[in-house]
Amino acid sequence: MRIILLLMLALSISLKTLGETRKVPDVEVSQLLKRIETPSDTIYVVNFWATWCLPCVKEIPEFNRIEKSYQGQPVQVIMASLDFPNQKESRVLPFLENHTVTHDVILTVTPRGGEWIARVDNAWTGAIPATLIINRDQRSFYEGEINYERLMEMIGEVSGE
Amino acid sequence: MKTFKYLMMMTLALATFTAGAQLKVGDKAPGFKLKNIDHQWVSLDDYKDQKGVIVVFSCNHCPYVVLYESRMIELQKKYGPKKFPLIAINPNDSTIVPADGFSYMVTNAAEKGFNFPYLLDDQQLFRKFGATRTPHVYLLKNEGDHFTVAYIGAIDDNPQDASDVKEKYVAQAIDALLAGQKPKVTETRAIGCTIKFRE
Repeated sequence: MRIILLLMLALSISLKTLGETRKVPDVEVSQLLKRIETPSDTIYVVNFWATWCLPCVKEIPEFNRIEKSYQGQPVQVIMASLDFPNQKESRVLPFLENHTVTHDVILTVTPRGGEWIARVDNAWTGAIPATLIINRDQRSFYEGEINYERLMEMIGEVSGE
Repeated sequence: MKTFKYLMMMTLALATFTAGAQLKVGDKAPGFKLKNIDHQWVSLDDYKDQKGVIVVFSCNHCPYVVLYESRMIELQKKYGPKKFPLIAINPNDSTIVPADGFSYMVTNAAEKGFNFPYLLDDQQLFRKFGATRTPHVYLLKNEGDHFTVAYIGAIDDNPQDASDVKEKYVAQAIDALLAGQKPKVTETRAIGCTIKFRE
C-alpha cells in the first residue's frame, strides 16, 4: 500500500512538472501598450528581447534580479519576446525550459512594417534589446544591453524619486 | 548632492544625444574608405559614376541579416546594372562577436554568393551615419560632387517571409529616384540586432 502511495506521489509530481510548461500568451503590441499606459500604481518594466539576440539573452539575469515590489510599490516585469509568432513552439518554449526567466514572458505580435516601433518609444530605432519603464505618465527608455544598476536608476526616475 | 545628480543626468542626456546623432534624409553622406573581403580598399569616391549606392550596415551573425541576405543579392542583381549598386558594411567588433570577424566575412560571402562588396568597418563609420542596428539601410543619391541620403531604414516590410512582402521600401525608393521623383517613403524602422562596439 505504501509503495502504491509513493508511486502515486511520484506520478503526481512528474505530471505536475509536465503540466508546468510556461504559458507564453500572444499579445498584440497595441494591447501591451494599452495595458502599461493605463495609469495605475504599478511600475511596468518591459524588456523587448528574442531568443536569437545574444545581448538580450545575456542580460536576462539582470531582469531576474528585479523584485516584485520596489519601496512598497508593485513592479511588473514583462519579458516581451520578438521571436516570430510561428516560432513559439520551436524556439521560445524550449528556450524557457533551458534558461531561467523569472518574470512573465509574452510573445509580442506586431503589425506589418515598423511604425509600431516609434509608437512604443520615439527614441527606439528598432535594435534589440530595448527596455521601456513606465509608471503613470513617467517613462524611461533604453536601447541596448542594460544592467541591474541602470534598471534601478530608470525605475527610480519613473517612480518620482 | 541634488545639483550633482542633475549635473549627472544632464551629462548622461548629452552623451545619449551625441551617440544617437543620426544622419537624416537630405543630409550629405560621409565619405569612407574601408577594406573589402578581397583585401582591396573600397571608397565612396569609387562610385562617382553611379546614380546612387545602397549602403547596408550588415554582419554575419544576426538572424535578421541572414533573413535578408538573398534579398540583398537580388537588389544588386536588379539595381547594380541600373547604377544603384549595393555595398554591405560590417560594423561589429569581432572581439565582442567573433563570428563577425574578417575571415568569417570572407567565408560567409563565398558561401552565400555575395555579388557585392562586403566591407569591414574598423573605423566606426556607422557612428557617422548614425546606424544603430543590422540590417540598417542608407540609400544614397549621387548629387554630382557628393552623395545625399534619400532613404533610411528597412529593405522591405516583411523580414520573415520574402514571398509575402507588400512594401519593397528600398526598391520603391530607387524606382522613384530613377524616374526623377522623390521617394514616397523616406524613413522606416525595423527590428534588428544592435551594433556591437566598444566605446
